[in-house]
Amino acid sequence: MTPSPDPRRFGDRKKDRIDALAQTTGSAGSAGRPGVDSGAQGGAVLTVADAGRVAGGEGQSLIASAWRRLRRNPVFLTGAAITFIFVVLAIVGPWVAPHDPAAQPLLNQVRQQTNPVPGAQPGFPLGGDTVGRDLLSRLLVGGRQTLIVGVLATLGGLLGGLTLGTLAGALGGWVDALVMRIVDVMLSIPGLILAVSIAAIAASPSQTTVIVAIAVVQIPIFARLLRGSMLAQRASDHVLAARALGVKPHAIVFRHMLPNSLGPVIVQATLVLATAIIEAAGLSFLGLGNPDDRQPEWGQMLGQAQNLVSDYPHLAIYPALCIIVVALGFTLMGESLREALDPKSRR
Amino acid sequence: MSQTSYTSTASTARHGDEPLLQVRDLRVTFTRQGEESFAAVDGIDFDVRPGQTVGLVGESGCGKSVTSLAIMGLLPKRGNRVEGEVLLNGTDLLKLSDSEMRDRRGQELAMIFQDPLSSLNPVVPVGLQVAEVLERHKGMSRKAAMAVAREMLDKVGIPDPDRRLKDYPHQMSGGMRQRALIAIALACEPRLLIADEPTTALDVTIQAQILSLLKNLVEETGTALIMITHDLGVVAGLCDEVNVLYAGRIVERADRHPLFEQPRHPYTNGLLQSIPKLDVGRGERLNPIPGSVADNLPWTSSCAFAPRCPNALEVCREQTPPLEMDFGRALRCFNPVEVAR
Amino acid sequence: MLRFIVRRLIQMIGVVVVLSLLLFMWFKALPGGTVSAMLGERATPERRVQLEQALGLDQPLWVQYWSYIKRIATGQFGPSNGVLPGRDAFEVFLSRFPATIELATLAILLAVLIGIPLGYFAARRRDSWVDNLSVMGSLIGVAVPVFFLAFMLKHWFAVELQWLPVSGRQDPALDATRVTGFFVLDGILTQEWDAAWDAFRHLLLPAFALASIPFAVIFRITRASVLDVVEEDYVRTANAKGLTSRIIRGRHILRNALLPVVTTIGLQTGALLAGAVLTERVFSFTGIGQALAIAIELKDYPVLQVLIMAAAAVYVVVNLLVDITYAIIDPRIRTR
Repeated sequence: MTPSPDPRRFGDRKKDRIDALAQTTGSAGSAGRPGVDSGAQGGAVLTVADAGRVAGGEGQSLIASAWRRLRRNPVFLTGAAITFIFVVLAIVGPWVAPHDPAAQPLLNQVRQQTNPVPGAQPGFPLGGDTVGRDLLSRLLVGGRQTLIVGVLATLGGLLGGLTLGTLAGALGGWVDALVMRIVDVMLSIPGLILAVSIAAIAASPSQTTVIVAIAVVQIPIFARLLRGSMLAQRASDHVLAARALGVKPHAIVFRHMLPNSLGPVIVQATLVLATAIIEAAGLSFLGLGNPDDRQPEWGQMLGQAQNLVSDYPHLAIYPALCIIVVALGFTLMGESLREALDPKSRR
Repeated sequence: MSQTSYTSTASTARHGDEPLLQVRDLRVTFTRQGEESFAAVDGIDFDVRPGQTVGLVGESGCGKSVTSLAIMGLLPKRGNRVEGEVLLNGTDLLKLSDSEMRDRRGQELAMIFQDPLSSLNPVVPVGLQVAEVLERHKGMSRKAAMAVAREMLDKVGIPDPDRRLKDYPHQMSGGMRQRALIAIALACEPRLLIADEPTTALDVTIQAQILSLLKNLVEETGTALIMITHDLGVVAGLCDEVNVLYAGRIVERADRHPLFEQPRHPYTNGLLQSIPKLDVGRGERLNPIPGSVADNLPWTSSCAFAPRCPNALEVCREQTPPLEMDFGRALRCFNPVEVAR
Repeated sequence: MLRFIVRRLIQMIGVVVVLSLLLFMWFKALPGGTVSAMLGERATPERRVQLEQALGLDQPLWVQYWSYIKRIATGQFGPSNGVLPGRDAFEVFLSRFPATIELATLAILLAVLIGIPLGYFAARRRDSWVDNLSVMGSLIGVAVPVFFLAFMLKHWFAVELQWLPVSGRQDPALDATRVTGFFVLDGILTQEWDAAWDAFRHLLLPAFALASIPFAVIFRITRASVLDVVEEDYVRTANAKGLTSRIIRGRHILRNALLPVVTTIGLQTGALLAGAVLTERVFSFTGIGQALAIAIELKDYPVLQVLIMAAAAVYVVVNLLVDITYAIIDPRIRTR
């Protein structure tokens, strides 16, 4: 029983959520034992297995049992399906699109005053944009750039956070204190504003700027996550055993601790991907995105649609819907993953 | 329902003929999506007479807690099925609606639980947690209820009760909290009190104090008590009549002294034998009951205890032993331990 | 508890110090160097030299940092070269701050008034269609880019239906009296009811858009917290006492379940500030969010700097207030 339940457990303080996720680190969770029913039904514990007996059957690792539950979870399956479709689209987009997204077949129809946006017509089911390009094709191909931005930003954040977090967690002492102080400050500046300030350092806006800016925003998240995970493991038995056996420190970190952190990292990465895509759209809206729009990208399309949104809202609605669905897909996956890995979660 | 199963043992003569509580063929089955249903309580019958202390004894998982929750109507709304009868002064509690049960809970029947810290609301002062039962069932004003609450805290032996009224649970020790919970339970003078392992979470010295407190209070108020525990020592000190449970059914019922002096069911016997004794030499081995609950057979076709039983016969694996009367006790066994004459 | 507050204050100072350091380095990293950043590209050579000397750019770094701190402490962030040309960037902040406060307050109110009851409701009817629908709704609320939501609300309610105004804080034709800078409050104080009502109407759409993010979080936290509390032993005790559902809900469930929600509410200011940047832009709402958006466009770095510092400072202060509030309402911490 929790004598004094940690009131912070549900604080949505970014820090606390990340710390809580770090606690689900692989070895810190318990191996499942067949026969022990931990379902809390109305507070009465229904353990059937006797305390004196060690389960003769196979123990299941946390990840394996999580996977079993996930396979049947409709939320997870929906999210995974959406993600899968998105990735496939990103790869085959250019071949599936009916027209070249950079070509301007409808340019001759564009009239500044009377018809700035060509409407839907045969061969162009969604119509064109302000310079006569096929909207449908741009949407289909736009997914690729969006995915690239999202993945690269997340990877960047992950690698940066990995380095910082591992360093802080492994070295401890003043290094840890300094790094964490900086991380806390970064976490206290709202994400978008931080991204904006990073992007402002660049002389002129580009897609790289956006990627870097968002990556920097995600670094403190991963740093804190990994540090929490490292700390949770430092005291655990398997690390102590490795040290007692004389395994070198860097081997302990890389071969024993990092693999166990995989779970929370995957969860966070999935959720971060969703926010990365949305924040990239926000940055484009503010004018910090890639000004060259020959290669379409959903966030950029959304940002550019703002001028005409009153008269031609579909220019904004289509890319927005794409973004929303994909972000939702990743979020569903991430959230169900997190629930699956949390040993405390109940049906 | 035939009365033959519900023996009148010696103690019932003391407490009068009309039972306060009659549990008849109680069954609680837990169902879970996609998994087999599980009968936690598999046909339990017992009586409680006014002022009597009845023990429900057994290992974890034998169904004793679930029985008490079923009597109180505190099982979750979904995921389980309850069958049978629970008659309190003639009214079948299982047939009552939730609001009808709510009227009775705290007033006619009350319960205290195992962990005193988690059983108290951490953000409400203890005094109010006592007073609110009085406000609810006796219609008292806040002031009047708090005055009575103070008296109750004093009665359960909490020193400086005026101050304690305003204290929060975390400011009290474990023993004090359990006393407060007893105060809460007895505030409205219920006819029946159910205590589910009330001392398991406490230090040994405090355990004795709490048990002694309970004993005195129920004697003083004439409240019937159902004592649920896995600790035979507790039973020995407190209960008039003892029900031994195994795998959801009662396997032996007897008055306190006969049970301890002459346990007849092999399980009861095994429990008593397994207690380490001080007067036995150091090199002697301990006597645990072999096997585990996971070895059980189903009651529907056999005796559940058979795989672990030193007295097991072939019939034990083939038929369900019925609960039968035998020299003033109830016994569910084909081959009980012999009575030493 | 006093020790607790003192400790948090010291932490806060630490954060502010690090923040100022980071800002200082950021300023130096801007394209063209600090001077260009402050003066803009069209500055004359004389002015550049002037500023260079004033800033002491030839001095060692820590001297520069120290004079930077001194300047900031006295509210001199440098002249704005875009948003409010000629005036110090700090004035931009001061003049626009009240607007965003009004907006944020209404947004949080909306998020709380809808999110908490809905969260409780969903938790008590777990797995029902109400529950599933609202959970899905909250997930979508996070997935929808807030500026897109702002667009759509503006399009449907302001442009198409014309129920609510399209932009700005107040109809200038009303010529309302200014007292505090909080337009709705001003209207009430001066008893110019139509001015107050008009200001309120201007707040509604942006507040709804902005509220979508904190709503989603508050809803989910409330729901999770209630689900957890309902399983606790003391709720079982309350039921065993035969208390009415109403008392159990108010005194036993909510009083415990809402504790983490309180922290959440305070902490959503971070998300609100970010959302305000986008939402105010869409509605041409003259708050610090819009100022930030314009500052980005015009490369008005002094203003950008002030606003970033303000955002972080506000967040840190709110953080502290939330911790103090929490220490007050949770007796376990209060009575230690």
